[in-house]
Amino acid sequence: MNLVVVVREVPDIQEELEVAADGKDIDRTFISFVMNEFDEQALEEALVLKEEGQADSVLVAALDGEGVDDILYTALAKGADEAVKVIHGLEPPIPTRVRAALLAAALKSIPHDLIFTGVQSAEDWDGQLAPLLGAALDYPWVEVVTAVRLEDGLAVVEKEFKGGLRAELEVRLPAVLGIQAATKPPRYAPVSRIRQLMRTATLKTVEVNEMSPAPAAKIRRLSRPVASRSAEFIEGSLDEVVEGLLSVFRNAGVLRGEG
Amino acid sequence: MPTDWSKKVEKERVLEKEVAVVEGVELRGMWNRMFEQRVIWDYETGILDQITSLPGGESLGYCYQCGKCVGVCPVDIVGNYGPRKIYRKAQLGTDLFSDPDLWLCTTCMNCLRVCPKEVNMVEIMPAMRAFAINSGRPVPPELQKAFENIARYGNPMGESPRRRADWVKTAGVPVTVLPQSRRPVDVLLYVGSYPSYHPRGQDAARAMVRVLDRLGVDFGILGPEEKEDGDSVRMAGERGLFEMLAEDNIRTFARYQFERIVVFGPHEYNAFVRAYPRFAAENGFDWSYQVLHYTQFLASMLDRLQPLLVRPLEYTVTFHDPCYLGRHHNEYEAPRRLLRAIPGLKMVEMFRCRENGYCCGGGGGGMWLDSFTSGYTRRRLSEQRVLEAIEVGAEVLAVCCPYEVSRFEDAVKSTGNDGRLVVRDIIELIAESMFGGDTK
Repeated sequence: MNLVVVVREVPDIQEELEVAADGKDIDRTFISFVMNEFDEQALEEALVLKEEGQADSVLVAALDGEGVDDILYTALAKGADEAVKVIHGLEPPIPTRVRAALLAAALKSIPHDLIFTGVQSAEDWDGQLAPLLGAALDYPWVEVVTAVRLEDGLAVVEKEFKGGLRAELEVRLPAVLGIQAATKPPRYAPVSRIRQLMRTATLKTVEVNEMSPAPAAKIRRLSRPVASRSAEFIEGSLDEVVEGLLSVFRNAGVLRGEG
Repeated sequence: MPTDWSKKVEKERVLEKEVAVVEGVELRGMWNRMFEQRVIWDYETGILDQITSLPGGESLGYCYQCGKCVGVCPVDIVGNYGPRKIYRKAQLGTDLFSDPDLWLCTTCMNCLRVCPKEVNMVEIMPAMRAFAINSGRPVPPELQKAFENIARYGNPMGESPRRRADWVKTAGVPVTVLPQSRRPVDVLLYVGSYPSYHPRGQDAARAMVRVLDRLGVDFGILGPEEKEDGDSVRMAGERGLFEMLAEDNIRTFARYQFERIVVFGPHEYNAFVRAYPRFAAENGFDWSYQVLHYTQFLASMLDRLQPLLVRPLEYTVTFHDPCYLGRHHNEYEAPRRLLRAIPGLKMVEMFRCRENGYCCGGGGGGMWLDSFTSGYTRRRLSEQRVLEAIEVGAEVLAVCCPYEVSRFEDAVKSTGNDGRLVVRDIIELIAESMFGGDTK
């Protein structure tokens, strides 16, 4: 059972982001990149399955981009068996449809039984990579997955719905899963192992040349959110603050009477 | 009545010859009776062997379980932990590499001070932690976050490295930021992460540069190029991260001209006096800097400093010896000389002070294990210390380690002593006596 985890880089929001001069992208000059946090969850879930003996190998794949090498070495340090960088020649930002098309083309030369990816990414909150990749490969897909178990030829997955509802689904393989959360927090990658792998390991590359252009949304304008209302501060003595809070709760209808 | 040994030992362990001749004397029966090794030798030694085979872990094997360490262990005073207990657990086969005990030691070194066998937990615990981390065992989440932040941003809080010197803007005196001015200076002031970013640490940083400015010290800081020193990271077991930081900092220091380094914190002091020289020698880097803790630096110019301390501070003050300045480097006097130089100030000592000073809980990675450790102790180490300060009637708890101000201020609040005790860095008290006003 070969697992493939598709990961990507997202801007590190530790530094303040600026809108680029053309107004259609963030200014990518000085920002740095980190692994998408949902992809970290997807990687963790895959590594747990391998450790439990449910899967044989974990391969991590990413479209080439700034900071991607570091992300792939970190994934290897956490326990992935192989890392593949997909060379594509496109400039960021890459719409999800195009990502899915590029990855589907690359996956033709990568053996796989089950594909994991994060349910969404902070760069666009599009959340469509798993369904679009499933469609491009003609595989079943499930989004918002919080637990995975493998049974002969099937993946039994837990999917989360609104309001705490959960469903257990059986998916025939190969399939694509959009992971919401792993069964445990993502593990630590020791720095010495990352540095050692940077010296000794090689990232494999797959070049994707031909692809039919995927229809994709175009970004027309990017702007900073405008603050419309500010928070209300309740000030005064302890009694006044308590009374203020109570009246907020009463007005919101969550508290009745004088109590 | 003859002893019936058959009930006390297993028969097959008794070696008894009908007749044995020892130096010509014939010993019959029970007179030559020997027993096979006692049951203690049957303990599974695997875990102990594993620990003592680690570089740095050897001395755990020297332990003869006298238990002197447990009486002085700051963690045992508020919990149930101590080097001898660690040894005992290892003997009984507990996998200490996956046990909560792995993370409780603050490397305060009080056990080594009293140990007749020189069992050195300051080396054993980092070695065990390093093994655990590198073999993929789980790291407590708050410590993992600190490691990841330090690796990525050069500080445990995950603040922007570009804003490392932002506090300078509100210092009120000019501060040379070396990457901008590129001029030679006498003193490189290594600020450290907490004085750079923590609001209360920044108070101390501002007090420091005002005092240095008044003293006419020619100093500069590294600003955005400064990174966490990595000493506590090393003690917490992330050896690879320490090496990365040491390499980066050594390269940064080499780019600038200065005569000596003055550090804010005892952990940085330990890094630059002990860990960096060793790392540099092993890895072909140059390292020949004179390094001083700020209390040592200021105490060395007390004749110039004292006349400037004009405002009396009528406080009863007790001083908390930082483990890494006191026990680790035998410096107990410099901070006390500075405090005694402040007019009006009355010094009282706590029951546990100097060589037997209590630990604030922040060392050895404890700074980033607060929630974790508090799950295994009755009260936090910092809370214990605050109660000890109040017990001797102190109004001010004076410190000189940047880890401590926030730890103790939180502990003052959590023990319900807000308003009874204030926590001040020594440099804040000096600035207050020099310039007046509350430095907070």
